[in-house]
Amino acid sequence: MDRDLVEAAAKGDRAAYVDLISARADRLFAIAHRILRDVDRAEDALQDALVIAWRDLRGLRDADRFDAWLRHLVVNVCIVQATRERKRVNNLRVLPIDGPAAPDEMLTIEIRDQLERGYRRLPPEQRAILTLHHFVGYSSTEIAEALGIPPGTARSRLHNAHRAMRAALEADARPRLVGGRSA
Amino acid sequence: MNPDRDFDRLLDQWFADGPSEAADRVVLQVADRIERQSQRPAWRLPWRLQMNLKVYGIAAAAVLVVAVFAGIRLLGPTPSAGVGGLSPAASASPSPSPTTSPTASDDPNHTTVIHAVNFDVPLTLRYTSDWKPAHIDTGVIDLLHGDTDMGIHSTAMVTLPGATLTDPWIPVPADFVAWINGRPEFTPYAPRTVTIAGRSGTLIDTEYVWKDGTAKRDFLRYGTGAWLYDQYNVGHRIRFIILPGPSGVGGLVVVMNAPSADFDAAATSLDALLATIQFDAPTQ
Repeated sequence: MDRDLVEAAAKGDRAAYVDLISARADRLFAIAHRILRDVDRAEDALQDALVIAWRDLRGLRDADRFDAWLRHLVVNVCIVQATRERKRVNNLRVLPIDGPAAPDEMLTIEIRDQLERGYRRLPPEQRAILTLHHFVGYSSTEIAEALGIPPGTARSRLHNAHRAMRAALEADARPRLVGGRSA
Repeated sequence: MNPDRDFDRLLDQWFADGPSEAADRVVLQVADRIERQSQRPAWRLPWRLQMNLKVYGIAAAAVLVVAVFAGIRLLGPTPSAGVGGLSPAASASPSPSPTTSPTASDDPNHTTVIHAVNFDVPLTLRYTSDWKPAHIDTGVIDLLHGDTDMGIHSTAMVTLPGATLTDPWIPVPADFVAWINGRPEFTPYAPRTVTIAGRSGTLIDTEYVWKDGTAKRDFLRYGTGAWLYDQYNVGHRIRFIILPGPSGVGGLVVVMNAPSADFDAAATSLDALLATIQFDAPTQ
């Protein structure tokens, strides 16, 4: 069914394309948000990616690859947007934590805050890699395919991103251990 | 206890938190934007993702697009802006009809004016509704005419392949004809001299050459994008127009890629479009 819609959209059927993206917008938005950590910017990136996808859809050789192609496009747009944002903003801004408390006691508000700070310090591509791995569920091989990098590079970047996140937690914890006061 | 597994779980949970529904306006705005966005032909794929973002991020600042309709004589007659030596149809392009219809974008009398300020020498051109904008950015105006793709590029932003695949890319050479005659991708016809907006330039049409096993590659890059040479160009013909600028500044490279069956009609329409070009600064 979706294959028919993809093929119709690739022939210029705008209604078919809107049907396609309507069914995928939530998931793609969630991915964009995980990379950019900002609702407005995630919406902007998703919009741009969806317009680009419409423009370039005729270049998609295999309609069955539409979902992967679109997801990769969204991720790449987010990376570019996050890179641009890092150049523009010198000081990282940590947004206040909102939403419900973590469902698991393992994820306390304090830890979420630490993760947030550590995550925002990561290069955009590492953020994308972590999102693809922990949110989308990609293996390092699938990440490599999505980002167009060798599998070994994807593995090492995933490892580095994990290490950076872990270091962020440890760095935030260190003053308490040494100085005995809250960070 | 496995610390790595715990840390993985921690991150899994952290990523699971957060909004998971897109606002309805996202899809609605995309639906609105694609109404004005043509699809690119399959043979014209971006070579850098960044170009895509620039379409939307910079275009507004780069190009002032003023849609006017036939009958609004913003530019008026342009007797000096002819395209000489192209084809008889160039001089026979119809004048805009006085009919105005702000909503009828498919009206053949509907004319759009682009004032491209982010060219080395800003220029203005008009096109009718048989052309659709595909990509407007710094130093590039990309329009579609059915399955024909046409780009007007600032020469300063164009680079071409070197002699071999491993050679560095080069600026547009003074002797473009010699360059194209040496390219394995093309079998060019004889060049002609053309005049656009009072400037003298070179027009050269060419057929593509494609052999089994040939690697696809770019044959022209324009800073944020590229023209692609691949098997899908077989059966197409391409037109290059090299229009140097005065004192080497503000030159243009026009590229039109058309299915052979559509080439003549597209070329006629391109002639009419190019005949409307006016440069903001004196050209001589």
